[in-house]
Amino acid sequence: MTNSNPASTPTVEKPMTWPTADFSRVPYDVFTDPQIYRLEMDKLFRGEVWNYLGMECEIPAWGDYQTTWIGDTQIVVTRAKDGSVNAFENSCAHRGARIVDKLRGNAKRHTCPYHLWTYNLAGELTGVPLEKGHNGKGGMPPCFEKKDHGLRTLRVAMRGGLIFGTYCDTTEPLEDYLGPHSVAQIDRLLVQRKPKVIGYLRQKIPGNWKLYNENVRDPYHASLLHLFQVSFGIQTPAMQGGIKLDKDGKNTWNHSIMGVNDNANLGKLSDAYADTGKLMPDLEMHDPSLLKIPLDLGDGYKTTLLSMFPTLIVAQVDNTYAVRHLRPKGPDAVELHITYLGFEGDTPEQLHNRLLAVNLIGPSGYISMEDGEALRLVQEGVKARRGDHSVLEMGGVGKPHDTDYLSQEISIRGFWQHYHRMMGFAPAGNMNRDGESA
Amino acid sequence: MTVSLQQRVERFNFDYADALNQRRFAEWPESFAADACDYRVVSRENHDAGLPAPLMGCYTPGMVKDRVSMLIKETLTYRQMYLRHHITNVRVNEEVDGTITASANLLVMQSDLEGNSSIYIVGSYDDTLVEIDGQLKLRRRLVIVDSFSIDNMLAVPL
Repeated sequence: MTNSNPASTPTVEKPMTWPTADFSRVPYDVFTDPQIYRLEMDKLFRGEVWNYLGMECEIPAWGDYQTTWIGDTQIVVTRAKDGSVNAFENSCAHRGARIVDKLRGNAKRHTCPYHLWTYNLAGELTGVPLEKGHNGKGGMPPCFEKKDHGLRTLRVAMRGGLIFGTYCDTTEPLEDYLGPHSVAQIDRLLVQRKPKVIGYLRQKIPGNWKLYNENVRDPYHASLLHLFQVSFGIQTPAMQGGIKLDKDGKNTWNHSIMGVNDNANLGKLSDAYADTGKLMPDLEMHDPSLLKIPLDLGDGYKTTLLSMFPTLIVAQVDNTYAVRHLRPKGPDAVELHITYLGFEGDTPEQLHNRLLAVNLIGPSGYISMEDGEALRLVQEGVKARRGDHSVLEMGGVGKPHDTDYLSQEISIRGFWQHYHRMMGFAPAGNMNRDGESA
Repeated sequence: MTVSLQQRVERFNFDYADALNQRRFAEWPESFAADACDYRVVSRENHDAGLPAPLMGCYTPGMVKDRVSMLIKETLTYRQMYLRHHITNVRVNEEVDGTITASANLLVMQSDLEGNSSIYIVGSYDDTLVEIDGQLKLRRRLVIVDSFSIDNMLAVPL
């Protein structure tokens, strides 16, 4: 007999653990377990978080509305007569039907198609057909009060034209939640010019929503998976750059800066690619106009990714500006909603350049299409690794901190540190790095 | 036998699809007019809202070539799927100035390496064709995608 694990002693499935206090080990079960997903929907998204709901420029006028998602829950965001913005769940207080079935539009009130219960733009119930019955018969009981049957509303706050909502009364003020780096970058990207939507892109990714959060906090992969980006000098390991975290580690600003020696440094990189044979510094385009668009902010930043807990990314990749929002669709799927931006006052040439640069991003983007593929491969790979953990040690271990280098996974650990706290898991770090009890 | 313009455009579409489906990507740019062309894949959502950003936009013959060069040179890590275009409801019109316009419905099925098939793309073509040296070439192809929540990625042109 060569079998050292006979059938008479079955192995017991290991419970989910967070072995290290610095979150350099992440249990794969968080990506696959339906119970964890359910807990996220009930606890995390309805807890002390600011959820992204849309942009003010998408609903400029009285009655303008659009729908969006907080986890599994569909939300209507709407502009009131006084210019304020309201947000409520898109589910009737009566029997739960979806009320608004269009993605966006304009309406001065919202009426459920089923029994015509009608709500004002603040989500308050204003009309119930046959409330008093007909000819003195039927109707709602005398104790029925419309004011007790409004839609479930969210507290709304805005910064730089971005609209956020929270279910929780104790969520800290939005600016404190975002942190100084996020606020500064939102102002840089969305306030010094007035943004306008020039298109939406949607991508269905067969991977857990937190894998996308890892992906955008992971500049290590940026120059390895995305060879287009390296070959054409958009983000390379030779570049200057780094990350800055907020006080919780949950929000990351990851940036790379264009330098004069980038091309020379790129030539010296072959060793860093560790015999992968994948580096193609001599690649050329038939029509390189995509790569010749001058950076219109003129401040030298080539890529700036602002990742905000739990589901928002404001991204500048080369000369593209976009808001990316995650809609989780079960443990093993996420939909990426990208709002692609131009700016008021763009010249026809600038608009043309934006329609050219969009080829870098989204599901067909020379750079970003590969992220969906990476997530699919991870989700496939971790499916059966119950009780096991990933390894996040690039850039160093220990407490997450800011860096002035890009080959790091520290910002991913920052995300997990906050996620762990929000989900109320048992304290991390009771094991060594190999998962054995310390 | 006289081959009608309708038949020629249908055959053109079938040859176009075959080059993509059989991964003869280098042939794909040959379907376009070499002096000037415009190829865009747009979502139904943006198209109907008048929003200009495409999913994929090639505005010169060079850009058309680049879209497939990245596949041929393996610059891109993309999902290897067997794709089959089904092009139906082809409608061809010859305008008074000799321009040929055409439209068609498009269905692309995908099959993975383990033999599981699903619908990948539902959409339509809106084309302008020209005749160059006796051959039909695309001056402009607008692909409007109804299934615009793209299944993972759109690496291979439609």
